[in-house]
Amino acid sequence: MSEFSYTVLVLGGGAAGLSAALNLHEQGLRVYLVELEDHLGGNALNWACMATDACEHCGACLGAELIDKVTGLEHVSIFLKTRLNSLTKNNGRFEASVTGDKNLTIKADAVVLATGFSPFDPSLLSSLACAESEKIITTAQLNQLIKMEKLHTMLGENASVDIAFIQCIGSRNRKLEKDYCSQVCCKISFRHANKILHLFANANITIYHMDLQIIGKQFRSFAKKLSDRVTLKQGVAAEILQDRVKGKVTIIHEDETKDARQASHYDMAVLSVGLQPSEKTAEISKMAGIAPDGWGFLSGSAQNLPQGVYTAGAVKGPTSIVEAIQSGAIAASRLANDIAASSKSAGKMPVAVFGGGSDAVLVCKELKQAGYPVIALDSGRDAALADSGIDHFKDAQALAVKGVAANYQLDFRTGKQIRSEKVGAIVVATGAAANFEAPEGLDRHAMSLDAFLEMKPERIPSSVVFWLDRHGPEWKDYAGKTLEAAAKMAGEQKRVYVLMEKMLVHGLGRQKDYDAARKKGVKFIRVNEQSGIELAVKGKQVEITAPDELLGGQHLCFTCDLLVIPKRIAPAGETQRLASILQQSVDQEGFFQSANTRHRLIGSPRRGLFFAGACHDEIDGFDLKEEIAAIKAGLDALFLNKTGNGQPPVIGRQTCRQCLTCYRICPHRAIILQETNKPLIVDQACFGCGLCVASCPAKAIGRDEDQDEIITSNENKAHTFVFACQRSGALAVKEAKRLGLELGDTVHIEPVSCAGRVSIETMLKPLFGAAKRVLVAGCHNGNCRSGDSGEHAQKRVRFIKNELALSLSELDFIPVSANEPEKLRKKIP
Amino acid sequence: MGKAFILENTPLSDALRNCEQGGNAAECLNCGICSSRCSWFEGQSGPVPRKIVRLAQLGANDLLANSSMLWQCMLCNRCTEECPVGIRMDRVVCKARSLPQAGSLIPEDIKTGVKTRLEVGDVNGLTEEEFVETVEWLSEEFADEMGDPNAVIAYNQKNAKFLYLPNPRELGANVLHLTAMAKLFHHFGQPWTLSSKHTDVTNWGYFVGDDDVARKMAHQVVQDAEALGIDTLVLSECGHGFFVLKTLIEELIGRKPAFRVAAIAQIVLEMTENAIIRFDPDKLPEPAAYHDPCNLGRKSGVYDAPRKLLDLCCKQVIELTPNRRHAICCGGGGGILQDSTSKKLRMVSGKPKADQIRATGVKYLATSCLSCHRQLTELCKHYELEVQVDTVASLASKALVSN
Ligand code: SF4
Ligand code: SF4
Ligand code: SF4
Ligand code: SF4
Repeated sequence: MSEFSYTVLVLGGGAAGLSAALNLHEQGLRVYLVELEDHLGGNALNWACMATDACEHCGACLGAELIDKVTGLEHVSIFLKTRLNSLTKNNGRFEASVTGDKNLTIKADAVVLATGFSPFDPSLLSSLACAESEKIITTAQLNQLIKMEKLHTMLGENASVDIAFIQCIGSRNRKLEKDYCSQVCCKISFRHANKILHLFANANITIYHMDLQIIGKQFRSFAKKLSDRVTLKQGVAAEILQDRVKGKVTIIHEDETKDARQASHYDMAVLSVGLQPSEKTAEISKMAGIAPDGWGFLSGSAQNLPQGVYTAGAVKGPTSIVEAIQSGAIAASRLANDIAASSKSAGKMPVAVFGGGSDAVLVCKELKQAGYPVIALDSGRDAALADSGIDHFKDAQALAVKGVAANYQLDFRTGKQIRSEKVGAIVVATGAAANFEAPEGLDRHAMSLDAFLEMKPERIPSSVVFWLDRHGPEWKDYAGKTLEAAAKMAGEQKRVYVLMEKMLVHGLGRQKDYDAARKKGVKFIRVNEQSGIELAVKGKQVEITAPDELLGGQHLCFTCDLLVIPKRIAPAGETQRLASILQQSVDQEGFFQSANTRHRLIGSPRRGLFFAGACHDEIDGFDLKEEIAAIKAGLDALFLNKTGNGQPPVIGRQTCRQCLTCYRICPHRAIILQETNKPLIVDQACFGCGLCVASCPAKAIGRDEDQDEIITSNENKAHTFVFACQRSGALAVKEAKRLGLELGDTVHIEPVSCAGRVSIETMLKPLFGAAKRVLVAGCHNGNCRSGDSGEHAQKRVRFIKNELALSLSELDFIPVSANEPEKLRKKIP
Repeated sequence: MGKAFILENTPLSDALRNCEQGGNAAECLNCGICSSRCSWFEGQSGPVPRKIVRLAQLGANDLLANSSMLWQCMLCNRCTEECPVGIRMDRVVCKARSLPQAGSLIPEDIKTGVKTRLEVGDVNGLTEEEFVETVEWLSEEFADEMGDPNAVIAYNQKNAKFLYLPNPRELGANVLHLTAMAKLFHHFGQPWTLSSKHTDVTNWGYFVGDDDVARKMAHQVVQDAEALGIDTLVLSECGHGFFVLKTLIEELIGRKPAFRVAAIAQIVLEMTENAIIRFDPDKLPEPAAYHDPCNLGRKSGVYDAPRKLLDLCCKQVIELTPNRRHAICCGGGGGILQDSTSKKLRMVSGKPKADQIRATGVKYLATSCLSCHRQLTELCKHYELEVQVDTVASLASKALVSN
């Protein structure tokens, strides 16, 4: 099939739709992108940046970046303010009649549904309907206030404001036919709280929740960091009172100290609204021949979709921005593979897979199926790979990883032998270490959840206690398995208790499992302090005494035949060593994890290096499948994409002094050393950030013919000269323009590939000309795609200021994200 | 914290688990929504609704049976109106009140009332002879007042169109109300009657959570009405009476009664709509606000009839906010009003209502329950509100235009 002859209709221009469009285009497909609103970016564009001193990884800015990437692509046609009237299929092709500026018929070979979500409308909760006050807002509205920097106007400067967040508005509610957890709202509220504390040092924040969903490794550490700065209160209010205290809104809640209720007054109440399918989903899914689930989401599996129809993002169920982007890429990859099924396997590069556990087995199987030759390195810690019949190197230990994407050289030991293999990409799937230790003296009464799940049904005793959170917040996979097992046992008339701090209900259907378990009589006991739990052996039984937080610490006493406890999860032993060989960092808890949200969920700053499974994230079986699908998409992109992610510079053969500064500094490990020890930039691995260009002492690195250098001449004599990163500052400028925010005509914006590209000389040049002021508008710390590249620019700014005694108004670095247009505008006088 | 209690399945937790219709405490999410909505608001006493359900969910009978929360709950269900799993607080509380351990908490007046009602047929102990005496005397007075010898208050008349079931106070402290109702019936122009067998619309069996007692009381009413062969049982303005005899009746006695059941306000409205009677709103020129009795509104879904009727009788009707499903209890529900020792407590439980009335600034307040009526009157006096309280049906009687 010739390039761009196969056409795909993408419905919805939010994060998932944009991501699908971008990836389809990269695969050589023609895309029609249809969006109902007058702008691309969907909800993500309205979300505010949650960065404080550093990026908090909300992913909101990635929407704007996607818009920028997709807009202007030759083979992507974008239709804004366009409505789908009908979708039919004739002779295997889709025909969509749409109305925008005019009526059109779009013919397409396939359709991607990415119609996203809408925030729940709290006026549907009738007790909140009469609470019409500007002091009661939704999280969606709060995002707007933060994005447009209006919060101070609303709450006053420096005030010690009292703010309440109320969780689960429109979620976990069977009566509203929304008995699912929206998955992201707890995270959103925590990030919002963090942001508000950053903006208002004296803010008092209370989060009312029914059972916080601290799901996932990243959020776990974030919540821990924040927990002593916010007040958490169990119990969500369904009613907010007005006019009790002047200028405040009032919430009635339980008094934890006695059997009574009390009133608290707030300057603002934020309703943490859930996610529901967007308005048009029902209509559109009907046209596409898909039956939505009971809540209206298109959560059915990809296999059950009609031929040629794909789904991506929040239309499948509540999802974060980063996940939606991944979902778009997965849909695109599935689609491309479906149409090119057999022709693709030829010429695929081998992929190395590290790890010997079940994660690695699944990765190996799926990659093989996709036509990738697999080189599996099994350290021998787990037995799964050895038992799976997949070819692998036994007792293998990586020694060195040289080279770059599409051209890695992997040195490893296998047994006593040392080998070297060429691979195109690497997938780390080394799993995690899981250990079980019975409580003291209870070896005969306690077992691990994994062991319990293997037990023969007839041997399961008549009363069981599941003890979660014993080692800190439970992993969601264990929480989910516990719910299923508990409900099943209770259904068989057995006595079942679950001891936990929080009952996680990860995933769309989990709330229903939880509801079913309670209905069947499983008793859930909430304990905040693990040290308050007392265990005693009473004959054949264990007697447990635990303070129930739901009854103000009242001690409950119960017995069971068997105590079931999930294993403690920790980073696998080899993680640290492997991380240093791969030149990757590990997270706070010692797992692999790309520090930067731009490379998540499965990627890394090093192209062609992926992570899958428990070695880097808290996952369950469903997530792992998604991760592998995303890795396949990433591999496709890697091998299709000939030029990498940016415009790579070149190192001048004559001018290079071989100091190897560039080799050391490249955040993407894109520079290799040739035999003569000359550094060489490898196009496929380079992201084009330009840090090397700005850092080379010999000024040996530049664009091919030096014609594309940064403009510093300031022809229009602007007073303020702004070097704006193409992923943050420059996008914020675009967004400001879209929103009609005026920057003034004395400002010159010069887009740069990365703040790190702006060298000391480059910064100074405009000041020698007409400019009174030079600003470098780069990413927030931790958000720079190229690691600490932006921080290099900040160092340079500090250096110049110290050396030349420039004032803030003459030279400054502004950390900004793509969706902080107003912040940028305010910083430019 | 105090000593541990043993967590096992108990008859209470089992009963509540297997109770499908809104009483399944096992399903409670402990979301706390109910605690933010209790009619007591932040008042110092009163229940913590989520904790009641939590105790029931765990089967903690003794803790629950000893809790003052049980009889401070007004069974108004304001708390659980937005319950995400559909629990109804009155179910849970009534079940708990019926625990043998909780027997000692039942207010003396309620105990006596239940006993008397079962024995005599009237909660105040009015005997059949006394009933006959009172009604005959009232009937004479009524004929005089109407200036019409045909204007009678009949009893035990067979095959009448309407059988009126009064509140016991209408045959005691508040006979004027009965006369006012008689005036309405007289204008309907159709045969109507009282019954000397069951003189009482109330059902305190519901308050004590004893299904057997509640059933017995309901049976008395149904059997007698069926024996009289009437068409429609018209209930006096009584919230919980309506809730039991109309909303719960089939569940309670296991079948449909052979007659129609309606509240007096509904019947009056019907007659107006059929142009049988009419009103002169000029007789009631002041704006009046309507208070939704919890049992009639939230628990039985009757919101519109009393409002429509009030609208026809008065010049202007004003809404209290919140209202309807979210109306605030008067503070006397669930048996509190019937406990003569509760006056002080009732003024606390009713404070949110008093605040709400004050905020509207109205001078007239109407409701459609004689219990609410009494509590609201006392509230207004206690909080010095200078608001006059009446019932919708008696206002209708006042605004009635004689043909
Ligand atoms: S920089 Fe981007 S990812 Fe980081 S907090 Fe801001 S919007 Fe979120
Ligand atoms: S520093 Fe940036 S531009 Fe230079 S080679 Fe590395 S990725 Fe490419
Ligand atoms: S509102 Fe319902 S689910 Fe929530 S705590 Fe109250 S009874 Fe339980
Ligand atoms: S008084 Fe009403 S609102 Fe309060 S707990 Fe009882 S039923 Fe619920």
